[in-house]
Amino acid sequence: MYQYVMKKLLILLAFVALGAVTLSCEDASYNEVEQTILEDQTSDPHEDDEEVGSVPGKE
Amino acid sequence: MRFTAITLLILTVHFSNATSKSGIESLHKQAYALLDTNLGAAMVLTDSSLQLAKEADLAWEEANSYYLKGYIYEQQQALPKALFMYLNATSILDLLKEEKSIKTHLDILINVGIILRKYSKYDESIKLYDKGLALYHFYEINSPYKHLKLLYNKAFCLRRQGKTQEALEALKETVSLANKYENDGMLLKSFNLLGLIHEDGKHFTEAREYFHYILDNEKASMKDKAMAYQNISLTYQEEGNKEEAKRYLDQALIAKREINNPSLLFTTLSDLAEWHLNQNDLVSAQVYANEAENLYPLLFSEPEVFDIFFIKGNIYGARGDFETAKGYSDQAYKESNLFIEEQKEVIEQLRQFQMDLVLAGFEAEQQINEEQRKVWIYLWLAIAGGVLTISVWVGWKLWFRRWRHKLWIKTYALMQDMSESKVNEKYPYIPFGWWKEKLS
Repeated sequence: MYQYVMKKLLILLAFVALGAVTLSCEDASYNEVEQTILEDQTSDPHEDDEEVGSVPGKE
Repeated sequence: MRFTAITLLILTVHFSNATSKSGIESLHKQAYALLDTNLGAAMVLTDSSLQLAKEADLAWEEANSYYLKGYIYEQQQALPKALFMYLNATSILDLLKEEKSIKTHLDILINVGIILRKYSKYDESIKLYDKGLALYHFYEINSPYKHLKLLYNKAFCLRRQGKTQEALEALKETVSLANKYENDGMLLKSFNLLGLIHEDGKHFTEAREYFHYILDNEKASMKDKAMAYQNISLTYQEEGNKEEAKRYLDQALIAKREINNPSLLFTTLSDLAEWHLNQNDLVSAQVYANEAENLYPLLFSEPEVFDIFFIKGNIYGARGDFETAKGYSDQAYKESNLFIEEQKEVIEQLRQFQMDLVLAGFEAEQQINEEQRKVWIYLWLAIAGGVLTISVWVGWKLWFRRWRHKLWIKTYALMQDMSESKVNEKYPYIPFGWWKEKLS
């Protein structure tokens, strides 16, 4: 009985560990993206792009 | 007598309305014609059209006058005033449902989205484009260009927000629609934005492929090419290849001098000033910086544009003229404060017009429609359920009574020592007999 409970607990622990590793990986990649965005915002201020607006009386 | 008076009154109102309508229409047409050449005169005509529309209580005409006023202010770089006019127009158009009004509404949403983006209100801007797209699909508006503008501008904001994946998805749709509707201008704009997204991700070779596609495209305008040169230069600047960066900046400058666009010319001039400053060529840096500074009053004062004051400050600092350098630094600070003040004004306007409600307006309408649809579905389901229950009940009654009747005949035949058929003949089964019994 004791061994059975321990086995189940170990399986549960393995799942929790796997979940924690997955979440931390996701977090890390998110931070990486955030960092890239910040870097980009500060490094390329002189690009050429523009939105397309509407003009009254025209399609 | 009374009937004649009422008829005359109706005819008079109808006639005066028609006269006002055509008068306002004529004023609008005259204003449209002046938008490229004389904004002041266009504003005078628009003021008159707005007054007439208000007096005659003509909703679309009033909204269109506000739209015109907003556009004129926008061209004069008075963006908070432009926003105020546009929001006035949208509050009227929110109540109008015919195609002409929806189209005007879409045009205004596009322009409001651009203004809000300039003040870094990305979420609000994207919500406006989403509202525009929802209106476009719900009312089945046939205007591919408006559809493309909404999608492209949304992608533009998403990229500025750093939501690359969502921006790419919106652009994918834009490219597909631009191909379908053969809109080369929007296709090339989308490629430019795709190039910039690759540049964001430091994929410089792929980014340049997009920009070179624009340069090699025979349908590309000089403006498209000028922007592509500037952006190719940007990729080389990022890679640290100064010579190539300068070569493409020179190409961009030649192209931009051919088109009358102060904003685009300003970008290249300030980049060239900075490039020469980094090379310690202060004379050339000063020449480009002076030219860029002269364009400053024509531009919308946003942080990217304030850079020119820092560049000029740095040039004077490198020359040892620290007093002038400090003057430019102070000017940058002053402009920055002005931008923050305008930003506050914009936020206050959004609050006054209850922007959340403006944005929620169409969603709420859609929600009501959805709820009504659900009520009908539940009603029909209830009816169908009721019919099914009654059918099962009737079926059960029929089957059960027939079974009980058969059992009774068997028992009776045994008890009376008769054949079942005779008993059946004597006491035949009557369908719905139970019902007839109840009725009797």
